[in-house]
Amino acid sequence: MTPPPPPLVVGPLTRTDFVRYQGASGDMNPLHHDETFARAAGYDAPLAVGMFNAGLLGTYATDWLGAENVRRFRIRFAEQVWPGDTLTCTGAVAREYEVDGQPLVDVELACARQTGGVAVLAWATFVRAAAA
Amino acid sequence: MANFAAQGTVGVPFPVHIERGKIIEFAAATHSGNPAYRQEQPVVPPTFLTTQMFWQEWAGPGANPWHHVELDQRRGMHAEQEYVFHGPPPRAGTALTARSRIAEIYQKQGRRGGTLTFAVLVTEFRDAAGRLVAEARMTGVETASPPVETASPPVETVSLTGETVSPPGEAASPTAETASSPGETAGPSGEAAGPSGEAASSPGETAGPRGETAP
Repeated sequence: MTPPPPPLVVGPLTRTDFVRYQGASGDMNPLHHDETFARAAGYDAPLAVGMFNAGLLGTYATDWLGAENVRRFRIRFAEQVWPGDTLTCTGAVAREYEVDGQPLVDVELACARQTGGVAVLAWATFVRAAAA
Repeated sequence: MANFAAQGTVGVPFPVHIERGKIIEFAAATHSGNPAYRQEQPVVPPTFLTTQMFWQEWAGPGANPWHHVELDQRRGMHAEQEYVFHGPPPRAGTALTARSRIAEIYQKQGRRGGTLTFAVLVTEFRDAAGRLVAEARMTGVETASPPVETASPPVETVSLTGETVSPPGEAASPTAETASSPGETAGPSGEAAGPSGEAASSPGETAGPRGETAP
């Protein structure tokens, strides 16, 4: 099994990072880009949409295990992410097994802020490539 | 308060075309330099099907049954999201038909008191032959009471759902009720937040707002 690659470190995040993701994803909730709106809602700044942080875990995992091999990707949102944050994505193998002769691997992924607080967790299943 | 009668509500099918340019844009936005997403017919990234929002919106309100759940958006948040692929993820150039349904609405007692209401929206993506290619499973949660000054801010505002069910600009009302102090309250301990297999077993179990995940 290919061991996990070095952590993917992204940041310090900017509002541009948030906006680029919002445009790409189609989620244009103003809370994630409109400073005036975010402040009126009681926040100090726009916060990252959780799916952006989750997308970074997708990037880390597919660099590790292969874009075509993903079969399941489950995300839990845990902590908010702000402009200026630096996120670190890491992963570990949880289980290797076979289903109907197909080699699979379950991995656990975490996207943590510079504070150590985990922003997003993910559990993913990939097909184990023959010679990855 | 959720409308429990909404469970089982099915939206009208809508087309989802998997496009190369969108995949490249999405990969760039998620800081991926993976050449797999820049080839002629790339597969989609693991969380790419969130872009179904575009297609669902264009298909009209009948495509998205989420609004029937009637979760209070001021207390709502996106707790979990899951994608399942029955084979390699769909490739650019593929035309899929998606259909969303309210799979589950249920309540759980929060560990700090109060009742949490969860709703699960499942979207199935099928190819031209009707084969199930992928599924998306979104879990939203409504917290027990409106956030107050002492409460933690929502983990994740229901942007995904709010955006698709509300007129533009109303996804989150800019009131002081939407949130309190941002991000400075204590997060889950590493221990509680650790990706353990145990935590993975049941979405509803620990999917509550921050604080509910803490031991």
